[in-house]
Amino acid sequence: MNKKRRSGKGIQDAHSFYLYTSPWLVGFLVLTLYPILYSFWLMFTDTGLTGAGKFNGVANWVYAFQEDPIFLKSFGNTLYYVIMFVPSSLILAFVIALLLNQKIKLPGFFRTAFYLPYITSGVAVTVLWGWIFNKDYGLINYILSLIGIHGPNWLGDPHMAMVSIVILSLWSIGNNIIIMLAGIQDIPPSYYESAYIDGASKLNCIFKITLPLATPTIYFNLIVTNIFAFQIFQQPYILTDGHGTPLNSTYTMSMHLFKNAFEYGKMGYASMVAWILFIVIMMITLVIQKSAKKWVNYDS
Amino acid sequence: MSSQVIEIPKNKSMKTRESVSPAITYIILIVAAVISIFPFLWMVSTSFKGLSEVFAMPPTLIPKSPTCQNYLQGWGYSDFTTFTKNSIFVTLICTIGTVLSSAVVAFGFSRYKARLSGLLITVMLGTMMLPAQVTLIPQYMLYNKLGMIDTFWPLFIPAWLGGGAFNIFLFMQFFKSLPKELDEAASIDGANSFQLFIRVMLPAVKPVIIAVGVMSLVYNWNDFFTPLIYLNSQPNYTIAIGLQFFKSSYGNMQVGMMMAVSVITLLPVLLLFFICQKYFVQGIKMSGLKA
Amino acid sequence: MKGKRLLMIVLAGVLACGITGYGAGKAVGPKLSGKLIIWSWGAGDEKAAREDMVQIFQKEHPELKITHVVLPTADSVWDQKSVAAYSAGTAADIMQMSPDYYGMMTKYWENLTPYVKRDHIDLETVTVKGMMNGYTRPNGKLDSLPLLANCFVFAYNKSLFDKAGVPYPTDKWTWDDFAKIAPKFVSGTGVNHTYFMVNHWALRNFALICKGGQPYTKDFSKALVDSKEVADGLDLFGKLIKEGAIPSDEAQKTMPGEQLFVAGKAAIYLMGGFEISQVSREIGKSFPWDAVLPPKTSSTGKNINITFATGYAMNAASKNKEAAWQFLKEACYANNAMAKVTARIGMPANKKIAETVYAKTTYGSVPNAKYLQGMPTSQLNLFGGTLATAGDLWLQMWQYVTVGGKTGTEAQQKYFPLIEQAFKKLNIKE
Repeated sequence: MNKKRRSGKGIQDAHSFYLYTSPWLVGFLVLTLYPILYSFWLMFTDTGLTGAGKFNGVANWVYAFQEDPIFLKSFGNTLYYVIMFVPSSLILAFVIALLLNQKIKLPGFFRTAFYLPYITSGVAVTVLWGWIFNKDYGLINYILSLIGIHGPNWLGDPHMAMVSIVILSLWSIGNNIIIMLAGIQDIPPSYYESAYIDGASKLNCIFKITLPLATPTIYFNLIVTNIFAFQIFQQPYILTDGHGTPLNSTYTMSMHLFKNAFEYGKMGYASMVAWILFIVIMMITLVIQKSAKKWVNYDS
Repeated sequence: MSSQVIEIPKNKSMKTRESVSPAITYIILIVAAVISIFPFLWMVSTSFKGLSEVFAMPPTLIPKSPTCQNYLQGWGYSDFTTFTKNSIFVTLICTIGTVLSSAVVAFGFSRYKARLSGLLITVMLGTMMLPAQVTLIPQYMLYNKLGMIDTFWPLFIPAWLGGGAFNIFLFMQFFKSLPKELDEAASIDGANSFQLFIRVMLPAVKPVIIAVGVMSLVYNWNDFFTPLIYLNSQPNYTIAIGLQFFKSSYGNMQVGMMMAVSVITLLPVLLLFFICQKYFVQGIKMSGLKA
Repeated sequence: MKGKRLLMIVLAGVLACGITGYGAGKAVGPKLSGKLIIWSWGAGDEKAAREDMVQIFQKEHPELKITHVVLPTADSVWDQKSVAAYSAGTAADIMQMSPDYYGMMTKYWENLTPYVKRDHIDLETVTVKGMMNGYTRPNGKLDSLPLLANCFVFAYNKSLFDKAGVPYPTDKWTWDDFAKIAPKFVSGTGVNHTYFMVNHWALRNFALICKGGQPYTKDFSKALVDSKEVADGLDLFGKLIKEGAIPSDEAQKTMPGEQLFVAGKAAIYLMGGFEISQVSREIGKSFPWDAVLPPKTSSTGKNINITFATGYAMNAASKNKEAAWQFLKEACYANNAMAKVTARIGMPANKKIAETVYAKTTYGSVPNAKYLQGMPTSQLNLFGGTLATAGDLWLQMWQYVTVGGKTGTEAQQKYFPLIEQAFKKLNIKE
């Protein structure tokens, strides 16, 4: 970061700072801050579809935690998804990035292959995954049946449904892989060379050098993945026609927010769900940040 | 001079070292790549199948009686030529806007300091945590007051106003890695800060321009909700909305056609990524990340 | 050719004028002019029908500058877009709607009762019987005019009935008959599983009322899903699903239901009027098939059915209300050419066209008249719009039995208090 180099340049620095960041500043004030404050107000009202609701104090909060039959369930489901998805996606992305970093033939092909799911994430491919998971006619269970395994009822079993959503999400972690790869490539080769001279084994190199030196990247991925994981919406929404079936096992907070706003017409309540989601994400991000000092390596 | 800065740290010497045995590497990579690609292949395969074969059991990867009907009918099913033109237009304007504005903003954030700069950086990164639905309705009302409903402006404006925290962050990481001497050398040459940015900084961060460019291109090409909310009349629709017309209100679906049109519209993005992928990885810098 | 079409349009126009009283000497309406924006939903055939219909209207009213927007509806696309538009005040002059909104959005809509009175229209005589169901709010406000409705028939695969040695069903069959023959059709497992009936997203509506149950009181003041009849209905379907006679929601979710029927893997398909043309096209000559009315409730001897309907509402903030009203009338009953287009995708509200053009159209050996027959005893989709919260809880009850394997009574114990609560929170009076 810039240290204060010359006094007297400070004012000019400030001018330049605001000049260059002004596009974002304008966008933030108008398109983010104002809507945030607006929805903060809505949270304490009984607003239906239009912004003319009455102030009702903490009634929305009381309703969420004491009466709403599904709010806590949606919170639990979201947490369950995050706990399953975030670690597994980080491990998977790290392993694949590690392998992509080896001297391999056709690196471009492999990188494209792993990024492809991220590009193809749309309605069509989610529909396709629906079939892939089908109990009787699906591809996964067909392949399992070829090797004599009776596959589970993926999206139909309340215990497996969220696992299926996690699998679908794990499929499109191309961005994470690329970021991991970039992080691993940033590690100066001199580290490996000295380890090599010390006679360290290949596996040792991974755990002693690559992993610790990649911790800043892993940390970044953890923060971002966690933020997006909490907002999980599209996959369960499309795969379950918006119901979060079976037995609400795939019903997430974002879905609850969306349904309240656009299907039940309860904007005030939806704003509160959004704010709870926001607060939870913020708290967990803070916890991760605090923990970072213990495990993230800033030596390089 | 600038390109040297980038090439020092990585690649060449690194690749001579192998920490995992090649056989295992290839086996895992190939298996994982096949899983990765498979749904796409399945999509391509389905796009050439007739309805009866789409749901046939056991499933066939290579269609027994391939047909181009889905492509011919699918493209004409709705006005996909117009949708494609719109998608290209919107994606281009948004991508250019995202790259330029996030670069400018990141330049400000990483090279200059003001009393509020620390706070503003935290706030900027914090916006990533905000669920999109929080801002949706108020933003909509705002654009409505500005008379921008059913125009492309609500899609363009956010791209040109910073282009998103994640992209700004990627640029910041890169700017931070450039040595301070660059600024000073430039100021000795009599260049003002804008000239410094254009002539020295931008050329030095080509990889991140490509990375942000490709990511924002993929994002805008696929974006569904923003165009959906703001665009009303069909001549303004983008492909992502058009694809929705293959699903009827009653749950029936024109599966083959949907896949066919998806394949057509994915290919250009795929090709672009393949061309750019090398620079793409170079464009992301994680070193020097602070909590 | 062109001349003939023109003649038809002119004729239709004259007819429309005759019915509404416009130009017929009495009650000359105001001259229309200005802009008119119409928002419809639909995809595929449905979208094409809406567009063709509006085009006819535009040709007959060249003085109006009409903008027609057709939006897709799957994945709540319409909900999200229309909510944003309503709340920002950018909604069109005419918005498509469904009577199963049960009061949702009503505050954005013009009360049409005064218009109906002014023009001396007897909606009951110009529309199909049962069509006006759900359009009037409890306080007497008329929300909108209907465009079309669809109910269901039970399509059956004759070959599978022959194979099972079961005589074909008739319109007189009851849910007891239905339950009795079900096991005879079940065979195989996995891919080779043959089912008695395909699961369908509308089926849980039928489960609620098939044994004589009702979802709520007529004034929406109280939930009634705690009755024994409702528990019996749930148990009936719980048993059929457990026995493999009907696939569970999720077993079938990702495999389009009509494909199971088309591929000969299920003997009965709950066939909506909106899909009969497509499904019959897909069946082609694969097997002989026919259709009967849904079974009668054994205890009451009454036919039951479920209706999915849609109409057009006038935006209360519209600046061109006379033109909007003219469109509503013509889309509903006063323009035969428009109704003929609508008949391609469902039963048009226009009684004349519904009973002629529509009723005579036949798919396979099934005439659309079967759907007309189902209308008078049909109930509107039970939970939608304002009742969606309760509807989602009903889905939970249904899944508690059909996925969780619990009994109807157990489901009632767990979910009835919640549904009761949801009804208490309703404010549906207006």
